[in-house]
Amino acid sequence: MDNPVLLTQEAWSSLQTAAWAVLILPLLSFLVNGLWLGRKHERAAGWTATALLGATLACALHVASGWRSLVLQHPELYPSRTALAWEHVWLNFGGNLSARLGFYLDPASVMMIVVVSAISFLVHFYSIRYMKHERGAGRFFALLSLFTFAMLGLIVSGNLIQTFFFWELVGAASYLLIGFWYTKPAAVAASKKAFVLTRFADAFFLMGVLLTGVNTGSFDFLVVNGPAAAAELNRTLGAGLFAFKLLSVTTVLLYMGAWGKSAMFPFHVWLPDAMEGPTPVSALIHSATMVVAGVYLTARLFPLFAAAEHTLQLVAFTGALTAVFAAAVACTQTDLKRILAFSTLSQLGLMMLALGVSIPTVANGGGGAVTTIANTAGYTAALFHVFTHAFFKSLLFLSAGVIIHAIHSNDLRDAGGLRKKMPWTYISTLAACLALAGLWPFAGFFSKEEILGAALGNGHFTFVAAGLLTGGLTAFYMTRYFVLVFHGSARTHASSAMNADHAGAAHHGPTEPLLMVLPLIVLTVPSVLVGWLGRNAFLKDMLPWTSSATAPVEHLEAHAGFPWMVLVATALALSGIGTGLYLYGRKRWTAGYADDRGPWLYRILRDKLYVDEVYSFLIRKVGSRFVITPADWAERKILNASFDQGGGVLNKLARGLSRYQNGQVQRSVATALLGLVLLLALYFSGSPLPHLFGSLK
Amino acid sequence: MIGLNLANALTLSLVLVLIGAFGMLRRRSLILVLLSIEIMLNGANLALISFNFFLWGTSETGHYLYMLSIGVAAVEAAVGLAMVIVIFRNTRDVTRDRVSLLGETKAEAEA
Repeated sequence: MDNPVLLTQEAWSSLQTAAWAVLILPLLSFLVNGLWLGRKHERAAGWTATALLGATLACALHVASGWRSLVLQHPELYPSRTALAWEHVWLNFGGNLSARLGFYLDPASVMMIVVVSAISFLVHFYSIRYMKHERGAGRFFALLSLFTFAMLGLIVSGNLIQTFFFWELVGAASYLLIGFWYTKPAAVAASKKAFVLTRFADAFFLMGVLLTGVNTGSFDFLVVNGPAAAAELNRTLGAGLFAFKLLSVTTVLLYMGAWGKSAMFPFHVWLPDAMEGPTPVSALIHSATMVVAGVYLTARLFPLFAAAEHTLQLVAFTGALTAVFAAAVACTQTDLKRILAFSTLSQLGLMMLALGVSIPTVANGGGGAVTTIANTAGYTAALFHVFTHAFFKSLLFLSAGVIIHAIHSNDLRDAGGLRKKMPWTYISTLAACLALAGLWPFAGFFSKEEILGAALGNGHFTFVAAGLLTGGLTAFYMTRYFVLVFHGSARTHASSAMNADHAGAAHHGPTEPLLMVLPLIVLTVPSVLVGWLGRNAFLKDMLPWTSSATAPVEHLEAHAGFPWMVLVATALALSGIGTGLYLYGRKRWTAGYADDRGPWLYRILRDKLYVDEVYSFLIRKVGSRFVITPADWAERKILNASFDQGGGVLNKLARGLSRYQNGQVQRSVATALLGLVLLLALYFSGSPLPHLFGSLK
Repeated sequence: MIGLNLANALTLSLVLVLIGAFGMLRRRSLILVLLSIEIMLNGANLALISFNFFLWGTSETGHYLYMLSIGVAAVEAAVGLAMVIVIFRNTRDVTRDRVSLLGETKAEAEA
C-alpha cells in the first residue's frame, strides 16, 4: 500500500500555505461576518465575504496549478497521484485507527476545490446585490461562507471520519441557509425536512463508516480502496436466510449517505422544497456543491464499491430511476426554481448512473475472489459531468434569481416576454439551457456523451435507454422553461406574487442590475467552453488510483466505437427542443392548468408521483400509531415518572440534610463534631474505606 | 482511690473537653459559649502537660506548648469578645439566636 507522499520540499511550502488558506479564508469570512461585521455593517459584510472568497479562489487555483506541476509531472514520485498538503492526527482510537484532519490533493479533489471556490465566489458576488434589501444579509454571508468552508473541507478530506465531520457541517449550514427566512413557515418546514431526511440517511452512512474502520483498520480512502481492504471485508456473516456479505452491506450503508445527500429517489423530496431558501443559496448548494457531495463520495469510494458484488448496480439503478423520474416531473412544474431543482435531481441521477455502469454487466461472477475490472470511463464521465454541470446549473439558478428579482414571482405563469427587457440574462440562460440539453458544442454535450458511452461500452442497454430518455426530456423541459420565461407576451404579475422571494419588498431598480448580471456573463463562458477544455484532461488525469491499487483497470475509449449513439442523443435532444418550441412557442400552451384539470399522467407528474403524500401517510398514520404513540406513552409514563420519583426522593434527602445548615453556628459545629466522630470510628474500625482517599497516616 | 497516672489525667482532660463541648453546643449566651471553648482548650492543655509529665519526665517541651496554647487562647478570647461586643451593638442581644446569617439571607434572618 503506497501511502500518499507528504511533501516537505521547498517547492511545496507555498502550496501548503495556499492549501491552509483555502480552508481558513472562508472560515475567517464566517467568523468575521458572523461575529462582528454582519451585525452592524451589512454592506461591508457582503464585500468582505466576497473579497475573502476571491482570495480563496486564487489560493485554490494556486493549489491546482502547483499540484499539476508537482504531482502530474513526477509520476515516479507520486504513483497514486495523491499528495498530502498537511495532516494532523485529531483523535487516536488506538492501534492504527485514527481520525486525521488533512488536505489531500488528488485529481478529483483538486478539480472540486477549484469548481466550488469559483462558484462560491460568484454566488457571494451575486448576493451582494440580491440581498441588498434583505434584513439579515450579514447573517446570510456568514452562513454562505460557513457552507463553503464545510464543502471545501469535505472535498479535501482523505479519510472517512473527516468526510463525515464536514458532511454533517455541510448539512447544518444548508439547514441554516434554507431556513434563512425564518419567519416564513414554508422555509422553516423545508429546512427541517432537508435536515431530517439527510440526517436519516447519514445515520446509515455513519454505520458504514464504523464498519469500514473496524474491519479494515483504517479510515483512509487510500487504504479502504485498496484490494486488501476489500478482501478483508469480503466475508459472509450469518447463515441461511440471514447470511449477508459484509462488503455489500458496508458499501450499501456508505452509499446510503450519498443517497440522501444527493437526493436520489426516494430521498429526493427535500431538494425541491429546499427552493424556499434564497436563490443564491440554491445556486450554490443545490447545483454544484452539497448535492454533488453524494456523487463525490461515491466516486471517492469507487474502488471499494466496485469490489462489492451488487452495490454499483444499486447505484446505477437509483441513478437511472431518479434521472427519468425527475426529468418527467420537471416537465410539469410551474415554479421556476422547482423546475431547476428537479432538473438538478435528474442530472445527479445521471452522474450516479455513470458511476454505476462502470462494471461490465457480465464481469464479476460470484467467484468469491475480488475481481474488480472497473471500466473507468464511467468514473471519469461522472466527475466530468459534475464539473460541467456545476457551471451551467449555477448559471441557471442565478439567472432565475435575476428573473424572480425582476418579476417578483417564482411562478412560470407570471413570467413571459422578458427577452427585450433582459438581454444579458436571455443570452446567458440560452447558453445554459443548450448546455443542459446537451447540444454540441456546449459543455453538457461532452459529459453526457461520456456517460452514455460508458453505459454502452459496458453493455448496460437499459441504462443507456434511461440516459437517452432523460436527455430528451431535459431538452423538452428546458425549452418549455426558456420559451415561457423569455418569449410570448408579458403576463400579469399579480396572481401568485405572494409566494415570491421578494414579496412585500418593493424594488424599482433596473431589471438587470449590473452586479447580478456580471456573474451570469462570467459563468456563460465555461458553460460553453468547458467541455472542450475538460475532456482530454479528464480522460487522462482523473484517475487517482490507476497505478496504485485496485486490480487491473482497463481504460476504454468508450465513445469511440459508437458514433451512432451521439447522433441518437443529439436527435433526441433536438426533438425535445422541437416539441417544446412547437407546443409552447407556436401553439402557445401555458405553463399548466390552474386547477385540478388535465390528463391523469399530467396530474401524477405535477404532484410528483405522490411521494410526499406517501411519506406523510407513513409518518402521520403508520409512524404515529406504531412509533410515536408508544414512544410518547413510554416517555410520559416511564421516563418522566421515574425522573419525578427520583427527583422527589433526592429533594426530600436534600431537605433533610439542609436542616444541618441552618446558619446556627452551634448546629454547624455539632455537625462537624459528628462528622469527626464518624470518621474516627470508621478509621478505628479497620474499614478500608478511608484509605480510598489516601493514607491517613 | 484515684491514683495520679496518665490514664486518669487523660480522662480528666476528656471530661473537661466534653463539658466544654456540651456548653458550647447548648448555651444560648455567646459569652458562655466562649467560656465553654476556653474550658475545652484547657482540657486539651491538660492532655499536653500530662503526656509530658508521665512519658518524658523532666522534659519541658509540653510546657512550652502549653504556654503557646494559653497565648492563643488569650488572643482567641479577645477576638471572640470583640465579636460579641459588635454583635451586641448591632442587635442589642448576645444570644446565639440572632447570629444565624450564615444560613439565610439577611431578609429571611430578620423576618
